[in-house]
Amino acid sequence: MSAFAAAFQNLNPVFDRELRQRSRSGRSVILLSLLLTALTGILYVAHLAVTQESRNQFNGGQEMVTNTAGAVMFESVLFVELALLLLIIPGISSGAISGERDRQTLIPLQVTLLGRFGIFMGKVGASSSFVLLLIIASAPLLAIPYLLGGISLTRIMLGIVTTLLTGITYATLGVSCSAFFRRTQTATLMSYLIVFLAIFGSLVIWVVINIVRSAQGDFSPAPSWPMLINPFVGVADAAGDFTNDFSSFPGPFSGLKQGFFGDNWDGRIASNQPNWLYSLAVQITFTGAWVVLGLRKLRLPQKEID
Amino acid sequence: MSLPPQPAAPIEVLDSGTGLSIASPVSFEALQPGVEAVVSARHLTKVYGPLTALHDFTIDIPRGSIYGIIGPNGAGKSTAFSILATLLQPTAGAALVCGFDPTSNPKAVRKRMGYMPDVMGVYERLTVAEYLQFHAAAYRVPRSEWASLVPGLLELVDLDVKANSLVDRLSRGMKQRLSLARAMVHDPELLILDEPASGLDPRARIEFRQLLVALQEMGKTILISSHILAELQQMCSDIAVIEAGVLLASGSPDSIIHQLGNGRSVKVSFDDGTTETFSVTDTADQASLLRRLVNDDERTVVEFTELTTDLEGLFLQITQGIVQ
Ligand SMILES: Nc1ncnc2c1ncn2[C@@H]1O[C@H](COP(=O)(O)OP(=O)(O)OP(=O)(O)O)[C@@H](O)[C@H]1O
Ligand SMILES: [Mg+2]
Repeated sequence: MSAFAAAFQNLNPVFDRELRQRSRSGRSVILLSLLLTALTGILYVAHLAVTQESRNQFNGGQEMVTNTAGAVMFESVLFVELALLLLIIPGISSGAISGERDRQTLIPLQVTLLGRFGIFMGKVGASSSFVLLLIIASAPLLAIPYLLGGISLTRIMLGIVTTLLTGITYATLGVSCSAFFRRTQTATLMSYLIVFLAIFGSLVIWVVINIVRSAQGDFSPAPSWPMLINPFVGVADAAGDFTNDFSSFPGPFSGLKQGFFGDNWDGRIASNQPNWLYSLAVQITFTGAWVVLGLRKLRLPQKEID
Repeated sequence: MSLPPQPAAPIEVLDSGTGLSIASPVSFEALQPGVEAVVSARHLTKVYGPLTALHDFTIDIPRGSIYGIIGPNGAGKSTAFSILATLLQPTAGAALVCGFDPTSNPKAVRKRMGYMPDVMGVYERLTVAEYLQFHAAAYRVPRSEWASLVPGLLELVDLDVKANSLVDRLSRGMKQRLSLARAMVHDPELLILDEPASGLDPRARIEFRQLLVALQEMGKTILISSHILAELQQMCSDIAVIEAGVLLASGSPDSIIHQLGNGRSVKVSFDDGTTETFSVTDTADQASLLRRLVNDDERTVVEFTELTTDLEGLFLQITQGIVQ
């Protein structure tokens, strides 16, 4: 990371400056501490829930950890981490360029030799590095479930990587909004709106399709492709797993995976496909369209300058 | 003062070998023969909806000059500068800045030009030295040169004691000087300064003026805008007066006074306590008026003052306070 960062730092002055400024503000440290505290809490609650459940199931009152306990704890922590990331990222990325505009530092930057790609990439790099920092810092919390057993290292790695890529995608989206909308407030609002729509809008569409189908007498579940834009469903395919044990709580990601990628159910995308890849591809393509829009606003000379 | 229309030279030449358009420095036919222009604008026009912010703006900025653009608020100074500084597309007309078209070849212009906008924004949590290093990096100045570049620039703008202060803690005048230093990190041949002296106290203004003259002596061409006429009159080799997007006059401060001196007036006080104002067309006319008055037996002249020989008066005389 540090060699990469150093190379990028030399490559991109905006990235270098952002990191320098960030290191001098307490904000990221506070944010990081809050996030880690929350995740530690979730880890503990998940552990309690799992042991509680195993006690109930085996009726003996004896506390024991089932072989899915690690998986449930891992999924719970990663699920909350993804949720918190999606809550934080629009906030930190949507002021990236509009903030410079507000402070009137953008034009001096635009008349340098950086070019709009240089400015944009520096901002994406700075926002993404914060996502990376949060994920690296929380890695030990995800390692604990592995040590408890019941989950493969591949799944943990896949879960982390898809979460990281999802985070970087939404950071890029935030920076694009920041370039596209003149005011930071609008950019922030739009970034949150897009995240909200990706999560809940996709779900609403899926539910509506289901209702329409059942009204037509078709009671098989609707196709799950509208859910590919949903960041949780994407990560679920990578981090979740199918359990045969339907009597117990399977963990949030496994639940989602079973719900949307069950191969034996009609209308669902087969589970033996790399659905997380498709999901990322959909989200990255959507973000790419915003990147194009944002970059267009950064092109100079313009017909009108803000 | 209308300037003869000049045909715009082609900005890009087609390379016969490859068929690709190659950017090469070209120039327009000079407005004044034999004067090398660092900036030339031909019929630059910028229209915003119903408003013409800049109309048929044609100008040559000679190499090594300090060229002042004067005009009231909303005259179109910043609009003209934004076009030259590769920020704004003109509606019509063309410009060459350091030999390149700012619209079609902005990077080539940016390499050679330093631009100081009329507003100065600063970053939080960044020191003065880091601020300059950041912009040096953005201008692709090699890292090895920073060690000598940054202190040199800070000394030039008299901010060396503030090298490790935070940028957002500087006073307004200091920020202004830092902004000028920033515009010079890549050692440009041309500086475009949009009202650089606004917000400075009188002493700081004088120092700023001295700094610009020093830069001119270093061989830089400086294009500067202002409302403060006395200021420009003292340091500018050339001046253009612009109002409501229209160039009213241009030339050396003296020649402007001369060109516009047709309607100059003379105030005469007599020994009986009366004063009278006479209009004269030129110096010869003024001399004959003086002769006539001296030979007048009825009244004796005690004072003879020529009015509106400074730019301030001319400015008020030739601009009409048109607000668009
Ligand atoms: N983006 C824009 N949209 C519409 N009108 C604009 C825009 N930018 C500038 N104008 C108008 O163009 C005219 C010229 O503005 P400009 O900023 O060039 O004036 P100026 O000479 O720099 O004035 P000042 O001395 O106040 O800085 C003004 O009437 C202004 O309102
Ligand atoms: Mg202005």
